[in-house]
Amino acid sequence: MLSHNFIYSLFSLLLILIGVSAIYIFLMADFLATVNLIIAGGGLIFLFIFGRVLTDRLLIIKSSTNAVRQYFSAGIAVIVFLLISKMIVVNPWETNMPKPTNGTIVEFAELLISKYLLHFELLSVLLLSVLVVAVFLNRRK
Amino acid sequence: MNMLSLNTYLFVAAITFCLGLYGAISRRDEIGIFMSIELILISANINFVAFSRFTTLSLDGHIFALFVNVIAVAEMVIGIGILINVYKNFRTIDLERLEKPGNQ
Repeated sequence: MLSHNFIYSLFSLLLILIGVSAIYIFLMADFLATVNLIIAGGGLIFLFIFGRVLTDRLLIIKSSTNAVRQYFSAGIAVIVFLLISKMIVVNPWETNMPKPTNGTIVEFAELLISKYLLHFELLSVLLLSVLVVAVFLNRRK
Repeated sequence: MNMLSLNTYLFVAAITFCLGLYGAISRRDEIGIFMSIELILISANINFVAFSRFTTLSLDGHIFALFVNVIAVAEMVIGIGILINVYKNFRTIDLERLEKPGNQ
């Protein structure tokens, strides 16, 4: 985030996504880790590169941030982090000892087509509308 | 096996959220802001999955995390479509320079 070089920040984002997938694996969410690697690690990075190449020159970055704005936003971020960490520490979370599972895919799929079927269909309609709107936005006039 | 507690994951998510917040406020190019929003969504996902792991809820958190992922991708697609149009009209993606059209 601090870097003004687009390639550096892009690779940091990729590294963060891979790390998040590792966290998912630690949390025994194997399907979600795979989806995260494929969608975010593949699709989003490609999308960012695409947008950057289509709009601006890839390597020549004109940085127009000023120091006041950076200090201001850093202060806001630190304050928010302190508030969140105070909330995390103070609140007594009720946790139970996690049970080891072997694979979540079957249970996940059953939930997706039984309890969350409507949401799943709504998501597909959303994706279709996104496709149509993206074509509509970029059509040649 | 040494298990990490819930607080560790919550702290990781909080750090990710604050980095995304910092980026979203301080960056001026539109793609940087998109990356920061992606970081914020990632932190929400970590929270969902951690709570679904450490409480008696079943896989509901995973479902929500999947939905968040898909909606993030949809948002990025629309955002980049808008970005390309903005670049066509203004020849820049710097959000601070968009006030005067045709005037660099």
